[in-house]
Amino acid sequence: MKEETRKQMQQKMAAYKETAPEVSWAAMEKALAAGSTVSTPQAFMWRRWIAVAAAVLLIAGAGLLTLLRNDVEPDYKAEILADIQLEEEQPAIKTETEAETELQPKAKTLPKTKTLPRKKTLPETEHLPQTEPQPQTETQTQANPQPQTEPLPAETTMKTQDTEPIEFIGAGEEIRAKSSRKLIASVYVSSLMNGSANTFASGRLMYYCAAPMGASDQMLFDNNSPALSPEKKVKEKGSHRQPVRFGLSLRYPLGGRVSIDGGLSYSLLVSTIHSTTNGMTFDSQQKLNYIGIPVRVNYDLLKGNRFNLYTSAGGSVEKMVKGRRDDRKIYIRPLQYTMTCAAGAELRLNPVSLYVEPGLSYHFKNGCHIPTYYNDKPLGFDLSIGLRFNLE
Amino acid sequence: MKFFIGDKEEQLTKRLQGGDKTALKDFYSLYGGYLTGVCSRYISDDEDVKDVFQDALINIFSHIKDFKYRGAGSLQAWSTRITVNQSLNFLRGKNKLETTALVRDVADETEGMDPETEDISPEVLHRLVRELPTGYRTIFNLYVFENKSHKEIAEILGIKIDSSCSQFSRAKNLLAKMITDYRKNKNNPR
Repeated sequence: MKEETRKQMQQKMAAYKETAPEVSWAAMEKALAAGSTVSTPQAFMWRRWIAVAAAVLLIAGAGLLTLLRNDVEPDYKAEILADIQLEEEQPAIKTETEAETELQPKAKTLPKTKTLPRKKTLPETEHLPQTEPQPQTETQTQANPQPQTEPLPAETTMKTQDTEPIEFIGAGEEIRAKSSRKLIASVYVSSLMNGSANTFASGRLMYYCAAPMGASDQMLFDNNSPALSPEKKVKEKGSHRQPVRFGLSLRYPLGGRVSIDGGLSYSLLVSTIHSTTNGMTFDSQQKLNYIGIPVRVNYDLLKGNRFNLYTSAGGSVEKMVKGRRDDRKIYIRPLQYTMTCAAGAELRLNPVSLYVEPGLSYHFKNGCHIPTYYNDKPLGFDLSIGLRFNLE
Repeated sequence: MKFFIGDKEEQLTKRLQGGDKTALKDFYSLYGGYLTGVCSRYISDDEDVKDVFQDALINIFSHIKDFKYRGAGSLQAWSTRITVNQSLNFLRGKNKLETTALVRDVADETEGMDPETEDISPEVLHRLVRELPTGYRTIFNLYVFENKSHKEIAEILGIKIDSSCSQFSRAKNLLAKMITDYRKNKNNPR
């Protein structure tokens, strides 16, 4: 086209206007306000620090509770006694002189043990003074009747309602009347909370870390257009939404306080990619779908009747199974490795348990330079919420 | 292609960057019609124009603090670029840039006749451009109205330079034919 023709057309259209469509100003102000509240990096930093502080407090609190709890809870004692068949002794009727000379029995305390073997034995108890049982009469009453029991040997096997004997365990620890080696299934959802929309990565050259097909002049106009050529370089920045992960896992107790988790997870990473070339900026919507296998080891810090605290550490390997940027496919062949550590709190509401696990995750570089949440925010805070089911 | 409003534009820029909400409506009043015209040159469906125009406004107001006033017309030019980007993103996202079937009656030559537009009103020219197939129309707009070279268009759209040239040539020839038909119909109304 002649330059004169081009200029003529430009001048002709320079003053061209159309009736502007009606705009919803309320919706626009809402969109602008939403953008401003989400996009401030300071807000992300505060959320991150609050979340990390919550995780640290949770872990520290769990440890502190473990150290501070020295007495057996009355509830535990009642639960223990309910399973034990004890020989009942008639309460002793004492004369006043006998009561004066009688040694006051000390409060019974149970020794602390750190292991929970199956064999159940009674700890040493205070030897109570022996008196002959006095016949009970209506006129004889005792102001402070002292129940007496025969002195028990240091170790006595006691029969319980169950066939398995029970061991009294130390302060703060629940008796496991029945050892538990059952599988526990979990379903959970987690969100990586290290950033959100408008958190810009530094500009970088783009290429797809896969085996794309070469760009063709039909690519733009073809519905089945392949991925861009790796030689095509465009400056890109990513605005990443918080990834969301769903998963199923099975927990197998290894004994003591240790258990191991394994399962499957699905993660969705959504980003807006701002591509700049030659002064023009284009936005593209990128969606990456990952399937992963998480594995981790858990350690119980505190286990109560209904409430548990634990820590866990492990990792996962993920594979991107489907990726698109607008109408183009994305291929990311390298696997994504992630390391995690977390503290968890679990509330047992039989038959299910509800748990929450704040933690940290680190996504290792896999050599792919496509702007993704994993690449741009490798270290982040992770919050999982889920349900556990006992599989008996 | 620029409205010269001098000091008014600079004042409006300052008000927008200062968070003055009344400045949003003033911007809409001043530039809304022009930006709508830009948008509708790329997008043929009026409902889509409405959505893209609103998105473009949100984009403009969201990033106004990144804008540096560089003299008369700079705000309009910057806003126009954002509107064009938004339109192109829409077309890419909706996969509207489908394969353009060759129009048999149009000469497939790199050098053809230029459209003669002296007696064509802006409204008619706008309407005829809008009737071009999406792919042709996009390249035609970028070349003629955004002053992009074929090399730049190829980079923007992710196509080869030769493809940009040939697509533009077909668009130009098709528009010339449409203008000729318009004149015939205008002179010989049935």
